[in-house]
Order: sequence, then C-alpha cells, then structure tokens
Amino acid sequence: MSALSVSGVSKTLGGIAVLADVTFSLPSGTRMAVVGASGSGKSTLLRLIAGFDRVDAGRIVLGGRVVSAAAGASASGLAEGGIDAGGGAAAADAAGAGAGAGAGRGGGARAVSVPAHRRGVGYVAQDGALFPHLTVRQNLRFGLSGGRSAGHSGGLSGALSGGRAAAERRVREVAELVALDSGLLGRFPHELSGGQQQRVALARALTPEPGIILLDEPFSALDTGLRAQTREAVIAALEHSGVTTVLVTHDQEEALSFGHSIGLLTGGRLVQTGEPSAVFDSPVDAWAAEFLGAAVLLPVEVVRGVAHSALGELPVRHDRSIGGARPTTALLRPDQLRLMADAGANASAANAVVLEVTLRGSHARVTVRAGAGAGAGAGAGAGGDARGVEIDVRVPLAEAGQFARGVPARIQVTGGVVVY
Amino acid sequence: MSRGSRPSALLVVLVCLIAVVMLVPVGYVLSIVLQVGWSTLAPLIFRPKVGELLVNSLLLVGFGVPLCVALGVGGAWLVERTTLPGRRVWGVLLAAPLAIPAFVSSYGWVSAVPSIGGLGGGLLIATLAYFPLVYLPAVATLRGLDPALEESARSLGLGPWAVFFRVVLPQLRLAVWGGGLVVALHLLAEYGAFALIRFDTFTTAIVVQYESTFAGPAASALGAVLATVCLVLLVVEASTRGRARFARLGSGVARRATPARLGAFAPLALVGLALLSVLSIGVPVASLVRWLSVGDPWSQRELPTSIIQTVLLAGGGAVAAVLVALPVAWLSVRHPSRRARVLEGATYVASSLPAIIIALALVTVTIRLVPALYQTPFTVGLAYVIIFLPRALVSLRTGLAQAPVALEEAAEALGHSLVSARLRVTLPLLLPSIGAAAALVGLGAANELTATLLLAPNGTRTLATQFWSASSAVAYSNAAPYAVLLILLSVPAVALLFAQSRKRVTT
Repeated sequence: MSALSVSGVSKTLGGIAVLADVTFSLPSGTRMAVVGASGSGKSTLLRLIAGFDRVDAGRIVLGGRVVSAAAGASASGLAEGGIDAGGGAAAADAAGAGAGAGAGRGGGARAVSVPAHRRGVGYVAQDGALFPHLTVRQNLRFGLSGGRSAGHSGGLSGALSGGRAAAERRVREVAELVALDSGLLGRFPHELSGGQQQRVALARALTPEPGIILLDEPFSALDTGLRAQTREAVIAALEHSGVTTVLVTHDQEEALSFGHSIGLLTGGRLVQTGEPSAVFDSPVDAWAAEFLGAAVLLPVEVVRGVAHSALGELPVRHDRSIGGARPTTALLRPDQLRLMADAGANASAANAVVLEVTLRGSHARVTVRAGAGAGAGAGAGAGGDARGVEIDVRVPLAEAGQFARGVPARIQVTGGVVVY
Repeated sequence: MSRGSRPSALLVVLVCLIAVVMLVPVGYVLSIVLQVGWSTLAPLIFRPKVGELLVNSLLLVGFGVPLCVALGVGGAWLVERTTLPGRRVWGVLLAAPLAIPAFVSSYGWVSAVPSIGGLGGGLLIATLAYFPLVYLPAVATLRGLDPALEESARSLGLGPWAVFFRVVLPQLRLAVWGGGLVVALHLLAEYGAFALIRFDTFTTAIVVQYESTFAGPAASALGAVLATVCLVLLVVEASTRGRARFARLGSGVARRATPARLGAFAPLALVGLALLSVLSIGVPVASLVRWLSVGDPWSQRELPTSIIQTVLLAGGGAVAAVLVALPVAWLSVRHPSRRARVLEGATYVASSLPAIIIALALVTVTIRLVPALYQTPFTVGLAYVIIFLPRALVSLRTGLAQAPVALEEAAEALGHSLVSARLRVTLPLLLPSIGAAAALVGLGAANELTATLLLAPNGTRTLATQFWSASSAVAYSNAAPYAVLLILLSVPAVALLFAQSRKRVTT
C-alpha cells in the first residue's frame, strides 16, 4: 500500500506557479528525498502534504484517505493527465507513479482540505521549530495531548489515553530512538546544540507515531561535520522506526544517500523519480545530470550504439534522446576517467594534451584538451570543433609529477556513456 | 513563514478602524485649518506673540537636540567602549534621569534656584531630563555593533579618533536620528517643566489659552502651528534617516570589542560624568529630600485617593493600549505588506503629536459628536492609548517575532487545532511582551500631565495632577510625596528600557 500519493498537484503563490502537475507516490515504510534548487517549490510541496497550504489542483492521499483535493471534476482528470505527461520523463521510473493513481480515487468534485492537525503527519522544520518555552520533555510530550484521533498502532493509543506514565514511556522511547541522552530531557531548547535540537525535533514528530514524516531541509542549518553526523543519526532512527518519510533538500549528496527513492524537482515540476542509483546512473537530461553531481559533457555523434567523441569511441549505456532525435551530447562522470601519461613507447595512444596542472592538496587537477589533433587516434568523428574539448581530470597526487603543460596524455574511459 | 497567508478581513477592518481613531488628532488639526479658514487663522498665527513662541520652541529644539545627542552618544561610548573606571555604575546613572519626570526635575531646580528661567533654564532642565533618550538607543547600537568593523578600520590604518568618527559614528546614525527626533518631540510637547519656570513655548501657551478661552480659535491656531512643526520634524527625520542597513551582517554572535584606553582623558571623563549626574539626578533628588523634611507632607488627605485613581486610570489605559496594539502588531508581523506598514505608520504619526494637541482634539470631538463621553475616564483612556500606543506596539512586535508561525505549524502537525496551538504556544511566548507593553504604557500614563489635566472628569486626582496643583501653587513641600511616588512609578519602566538596550540584539 502506498502511504502517500500525490497526483497532479499544482500550487500558485502570489501569481507565480510554484508547483505544476506534480505526481508521485511512496510505498509504506520507504524514504524518499526530493531534491531541488532553492525556489524549485520543494518546501511548498511539503507544506501542501502537511496541510499548511491548500492545493490549487490535484489530490493528495495519505494512508488511503484523501486529505487534499482541489474543487471541480477537472481535478481528477488533470491528475491522470499529469501521469501521462510525466510518463515521458519518468519512463524508466514508473514504478511509483502507477500505484499513486490507484489509491484514493474518487476524491469527488468537492474540495477537500483536512486541517493539518487531523492529518497524522510528522513535520520537522528547517530550524526544528522547538517550542522555546517548553523543556525537551514537554516538547516531546506535546503531540500526545493534541487529541489526535485514532493512532496508527497500539502503543500510541496507550500513550494518548493513558496517563503520565505511558506518556513518559513514549518520551523515553523516542529519545532513545534518536540517541538523545535522557539527561537532556529537562533542558530547554536553547541549552542544546544545533544537532541535538534537530534530533529532538525529529523525536517530537515521531512521538505520536505519525503515518508519515516530512523533513524540510532539517540539516541545512548545521555545520558540515555535525551535519553528516546528525544525518546518520536521523536515518538510523527513521530506519529503526520504519516510518514513511519525505525529505526535501537542496543537497544532492544528501538526497542520493537518504533513502529508497529520489525525486528531482525543478521549476515546480518533478522531472524524474526513481531509485537513487538508477537516477544518478541515467539522469533524464543534461541539466539533471549536472545537478546531481560533477559531470563531463562531451559533444558526440552516435552511430549504431557507439558514441564517437573527442575521447574516441564510447559505448552507449543509456540513450535518453527524446523521440528519435539524434543524440548530440554524452554524459561522463569524473570517476569514469583515468588519465595516464604517455610513456613515449605508446605515443600513438595519446588522445589529449595537458594544459595545466593544479595541485589541490589531496590530489591534483589536470586540465587537458582532447580531440584537437593532440594524438594520432583522437578526433575521429568528434563534435566537429577543431579546437577540441577541455576536460578536468582528477589525478592522485603520486601520479601528478608525470604531467606538465604540453605533455601528451591518454584519457581512459571505463563504463559507457549516457547520450542526450 | 507567512507567504500565501492572507490576513482575515476582520483583522484588516479592525486595524483600519484603529488607524482611523488614532488619526483623529491629525484630522482635528486639518479640520481647524479648513473649517476656521485661513482668513481667521492668519491674524491669530501671524502676530508677535506666536513669533516669539516659535522662536522659543525652535531655539529649544535647535540647541536641545544637539546637546542631548552629544551627551547621549558620548556617554554611551564612554560606558560601552572604553576602560573608564566604574563603567557599570555610570551605565545606570546615565539612564536614571529618565525615571525623574521632566516636570519633577524642573520642580527640583526651581525650588533650589528660584531665579532659574528663560531659554537657558529651559534648555538646562530639558537637556538633563531627555539626553537618556539618545543614550539608550546609542548603547543598544554600540552593543550590537560588530567589533570586527572597528578592528578592520584599525588595520586599514585609522587611529582611534578616526575610527570613532568614520566607522562608529556613522553606524550610530539611526540611533542618533531616532533618539534626536524623540527628544525634539518631547521638547515641543513638554508642558509642566517649562510652565514651572515660566518659559513660554507653544505647549504652555496653548494650555494658557485653553484655560482662558477653552478650545477656541486662538488655542486651535497655536495647536495647528505646533502640530505642523511636529509633522515637519517627522518628515525631515524620515527623509534624512537613510535606508542603509547598519545591522551586523553574517551569522554568529559578535565578540565584545576591545575597549579603548582613555589614558589622560580618564579623569576628565570622570569629572564630566559626575557633574552630569549631580545636575541631572543630584539636584532634583536633593530638593525632594529637603521638601520632604518640611512639615508632614505624607499626611495629606488626597494622597490615598490619588494613588487609587492613578492606578485605575493608568491601568485601564495600559489594558486598552495592549488590546489595541495587538491586532496592529499581529497584522504587521504575521502579514507584512505595504498596507500593514501604512496602517502601522498612521498610528506612529498620531502618537508623535504633543499630548496637548491630542487632548484638544478629543475635547473638541467629544463635545461636538459624543457629548456623553466628554470628561469621562473613557476619553482619558483613549488619550493614553493614542499617546502611548507605540510603546505597546514595539514590545508586542518583538514578542510576536519570537513566536513565529513555524511554531504554530509544528503544534498543528502534532495534532493541535489552530486555537489550541495559539493558546499553548503563541500566548505563553507572548506573555512577557504583553506584560512589558502594559507596564510601559501604564507607567507612562501614570506620569502623564497635560492630557489628564484637560480630559479627566472634574474632581479627578492623579499623582501627576496633584503634584502639579501643589507645585504650581508653590506648595513645594506638599508636592514632594507625589514627586517621590511619580519617580518610584517610573523606575520599573526605565529599568525595562535599560535592560532592553543592553540585550545584545540589533533590531
């Protein structure tokens, strides 16, 4: 069963379309990271799911219950159209989308907007939003006295209806879950470090055992070291509690390492969803490829499944070109490149010439020009630019000594390319 | 975050209504000019008497404001940025004159030096009473200033004096401008302090006119001129304040600055500060102590009644001001927009008019439109609200800013309805600032003299009016207990302002 299904959701704020036709669904117990640049609409998406804002079009279903639906019959029609339209982009990743359409169909023509406090959603804001006038314990207990209707498991109803003992038990349970020292329970939020505050915020959201947890860039306010550490702790706690989770973030690393699936949001559109490794391996377009991580884009000409480039002939791993157009660009990740000095004995193997060597402490960055007639084998059928392509290659420090300006070199490529 | 959230129509209507009521005094001034007509007003305005008042008032502002700025900024710098011995004590002593109402200070001076008077006397008393109005914001700014700026200037080759004039002083501009404006408005609005030493300003002249011809054209004409001067000052301040952002950029807490060594200047600074404290606190307090020991002033019959009536009137005003300020602050913090700024600004404009104008306006409006309200506690309370609303607004805005919507949303996500979320999260966070707002308004109202004299029902006795009737009848000993109570009433408000100015936050 899908815990969350979003279909055809659009939202306009102040005359600007913040979200357009967003469709995805999330199986129970899985974690999804939605990644997008600032202004891509990712926070708005969470606020719509949480019930802080209303949808303009489309429908949101939580645990089989329609919690948001725009008025008018067009809403459901639009939702299905959305899936079709999105199909092209999400062709390889349709696993989730299909399930979304099934759940909670028939939201009806009337607008639905279940208020935030009746949705059973756990929400963790960017800065934690801990109540400054309450201790950690009182913060954690806050959700147990809200009068939220039926819980999602037996333990909750006990804590909700039961007395202080049950509440205290639950508080200690979640504190342990997020690895929070019980000595901190009596402190006030301002007496905690940033990382501790975020863990309390997560624990507080988990206390009433919500059907789903929404994390709005919960690590962005933390320093780099603390950030990684807090992220590990949060993932461990989420893994342990088995709660369905949506994280929004602008950090690609964070998104790729967070969970079972990833969604790419840009300009209010969800352009790709799928398993993190699958999405990283085969981004839907060149923009997505560069957004997800360092990328080398080469002009290519594809003939019978082989890309001819400045680096020679490269096998095509995925063809992402749209509707039969001839692909012109190939995506390589820096990890796929290996730079070797031309030992002289094998001069004909050189396909690049070194332009610059920059020492970067732990490694060296060697900038080369490939495909400008630098070596015998280079340039065959390349993108047509006689000046070749400049490429930065990361080289272990120990090998950096072999390279200097003007030295011919060979770039070896492992794995195929994705062409667009 | 409040994006996309629109204020409810009820809230907007309510705030509009409040702005309209707050603007009654401004409307009154305009209607004088329109109704009475220029032909009637011109001869009343262009006569030697008015010219003399105008010169007096302008000289008062022209000399008083720079003096207050010099004393306030200099004091703040000595206390905050130097190695002056006893900085903590001086820090308190420089704020303390604010706890002595200007007319009490004037009483202290005139009973000690009966010959005091004229522009010189007025300047002396007013400067000593009002320079803390520049000192406090200057302290707050200096505390919020990142010392890295000064350190950068030093490393760029500037000496200590150059650093002060080229880096520190420009940063103090907002504090100086804002404080200067407040001083100027106080100087124009002050009645008691100048009436006691028989120094004529617009405000004293209006009261005299009012006592002889009621709210007639003569008083109105003077009022229109006074209000115009105030509004011109407001516009001048707003248009020269500049839009530059002087707040600390970047995150993290600023370190404490390394204080400057005064060296040979230290004794000079100490003597100066001591002299300032003796003149601003010593003289009034010494006079008070002397008059308290004459006769048995504490056994006056009217004392208990006036305490009760003061508490009732000021307390009512405080509650009313908080209730009125709450929707205005809510609109401007939770739903910031151009409209909210305009509405909030309207309330500030009204409050910057002298109390005498507000009183005249309310007298005229109640008599003409709702005679039943003339000289009732309601009208006095309304006057207090109009005069002191900014005090409540500033407090409540700060409080609301510390109770962001995100917290209400967090509570909602945890299963609390909006009402429950506001009761359990927003209200507790707001309580301290509600308390501060009520205290600031209440304590100000307890000291208020001009509007209370004009508007209170016959037979009303507040501490301020009792003090006034005794001291203007030269019954100095009888006035002393009221003066002591007025000072005691002011202490908490000043302590509050003092504490706020020392919080290391720039707002």
